[in-house]
Amino acid sequence: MTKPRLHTNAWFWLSALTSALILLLVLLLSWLMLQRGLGLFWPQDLVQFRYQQAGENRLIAGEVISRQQVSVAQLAAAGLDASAPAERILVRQGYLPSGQGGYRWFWQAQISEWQQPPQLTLVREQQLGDLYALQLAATADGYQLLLADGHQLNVAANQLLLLLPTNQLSWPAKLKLYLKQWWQFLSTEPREANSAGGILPAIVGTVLSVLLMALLVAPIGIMAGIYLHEYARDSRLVRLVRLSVHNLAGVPSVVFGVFGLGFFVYVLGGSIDKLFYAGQLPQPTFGSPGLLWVSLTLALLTLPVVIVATEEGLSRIPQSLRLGGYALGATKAEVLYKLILPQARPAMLTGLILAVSRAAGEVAPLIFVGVVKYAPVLPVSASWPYLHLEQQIMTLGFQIYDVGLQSSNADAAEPRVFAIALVLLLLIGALNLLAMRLRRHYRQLQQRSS
Amino acid sequence: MKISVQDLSVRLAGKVVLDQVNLQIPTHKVTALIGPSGCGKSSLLRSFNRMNELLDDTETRGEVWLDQLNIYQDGIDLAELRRRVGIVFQKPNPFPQSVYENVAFGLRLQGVNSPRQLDELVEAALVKAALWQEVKDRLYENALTLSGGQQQRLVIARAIAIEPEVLLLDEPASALDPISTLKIEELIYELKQHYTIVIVTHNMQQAARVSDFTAFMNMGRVVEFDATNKIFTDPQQAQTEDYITGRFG
Repeated sequence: MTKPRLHTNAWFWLSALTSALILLLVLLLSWLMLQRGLGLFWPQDLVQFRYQQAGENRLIAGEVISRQQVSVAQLAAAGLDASAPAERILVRQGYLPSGQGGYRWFWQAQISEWQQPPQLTLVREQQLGDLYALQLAATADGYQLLLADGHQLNVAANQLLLLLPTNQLSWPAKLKLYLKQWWQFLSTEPREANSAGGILPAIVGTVLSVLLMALLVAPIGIMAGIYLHEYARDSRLVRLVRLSVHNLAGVPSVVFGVFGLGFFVYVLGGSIDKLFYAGQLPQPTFGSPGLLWVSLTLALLTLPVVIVATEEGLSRIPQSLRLGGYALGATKAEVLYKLILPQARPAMLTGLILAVSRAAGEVAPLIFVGVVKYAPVLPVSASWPYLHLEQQIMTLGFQIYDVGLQSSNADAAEPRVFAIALVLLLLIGALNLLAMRLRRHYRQLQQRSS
Repeated sequence: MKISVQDLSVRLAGKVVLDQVNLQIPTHKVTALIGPSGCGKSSLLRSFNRMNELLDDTETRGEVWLDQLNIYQDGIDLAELRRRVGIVFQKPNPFPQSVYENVAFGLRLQGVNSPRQLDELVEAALVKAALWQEVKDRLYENALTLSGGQQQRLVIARAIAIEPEVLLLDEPASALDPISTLKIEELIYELKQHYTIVIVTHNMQQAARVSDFTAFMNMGRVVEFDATNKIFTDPQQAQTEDYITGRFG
């Protein structure tokens, strides 16, 4: 009689342990995203030093991005002097007219005259990006900068985005600047091939496409779920439909993208163009990838989630509730709409939450049907028709992919990737929170009475 | 006669549960259906307002007359039939809404929408179901917070709010404690002034206490039907006597 007890205990610990592991993973993910993403806009101290190596003797100015210990073995493998472990630092030098700017690793041993002069200034210019000026002199229409490689550079005041002697800043001033930079990140368009600037079009694109998807998938999915559970008899055909729905959930998402391009964009969009926009052909209006097709593809992708959630919600309603309704002379429709659906509403909302979370992070299928690398014009405007369904959009998911993998400058891209991922996570979290509040609202409504 | 059953046969999933049943239910009396488990008494009860059909795979033959209406003829309005013939099940099944909304549900279906009229009718139904004193201060609380006995009386109130002609009770007290059972029995006694009541029960004493007529059923047939006094004191069939005295069933 002792053995089964031991087993129970083992099961308890095993299940508790896996749950703890999952919790740990979630915490780790959140912590990493917060730590890496939030650090992007904190003003770093600016440094200046002299670097002498193999006949090279240069003055360097910039920000330290990271430090690294290189072991003897690694040094030897790289064909360097491997007598002792060495330290190297990654410095962001900004633009230099000599072409030696950008990110670069420097050996700590070769560095001398390390200092943090207060007059060292971070300058952000519209075209050139970030510059680190050793000295700064006002001119008639802007500033003259002295850069670390000895070049002089004139910058017009109206091209200037930021002029910042970071080393002189107090802590509150840095915080203010940090918040301002975040605000700029969230409220402006991207610059320099998405490697700088803001992500507003991507945020708007993600929110719009997902909301539009929810509007499309909610009625279709819920109606289909209601039909399958309440009206359809258990026939071979219905079983086939149910099987197809479940299989639809297993189709790789990129296949939906190809389908969306082939059917929605070319067939549906092409027909719409022929019918309503014939005057503009061969220039396509709806016959090319755009917001509407993105949302429609997402809706198709998330349809099984909503249908299954609706069916499960309906099957949890006890039969006695239905019988009670019929006993009072209610018709099938009355029982459904007055008794069953109010009870099943939270389950349907749960399905919709899952669908929204899934859709907000999709990338692969959307590249086919209307999400592009750069589309700074928002699909919403103040003039009619307000919502431009035919327009191509940017989304956060694709931005992460694009910045992370397609960027010419991997060192600059990495913190940005984390920042965008953080924004995406927070956005999905906010959407979920909204839906959860709605669900709680309905539950309370239900409990209080109809 | 309120309900007249003629040669009624019912199959559930291919199995015969009622076999050529004939029965006359008198108006404004309480008729009890008794018999061992699986004898078909619940199926017979449910065939009086065609609730059997809500289960898949039911096959019904024969006739059931409600006054001058054959309820198994084609084109009958089932919702209207069930308004005239209400039913209460073994397990209380209040809707997860307020006490008030539970009673108002059937009234609203009938098109009663004015708040004043609803208030009056809801109160009248709760008074009739002997529940008003207990719930008048908690009309807007969720009905699921009531006790089991209160829930069952609420379900009865809900059923009589729409003024049915017949009230079918399917073991209405078998899930309740003795005090709640007593209250339900008193209620049945009150209600028979206005309604024709058919009650299915497993409890011999209950059948003897509340009913005017009793039908003993076995194996899908009505073995004996007579005044309750007669059945319990001088049954004509040996089977009936065995069942009532506890030798069989």
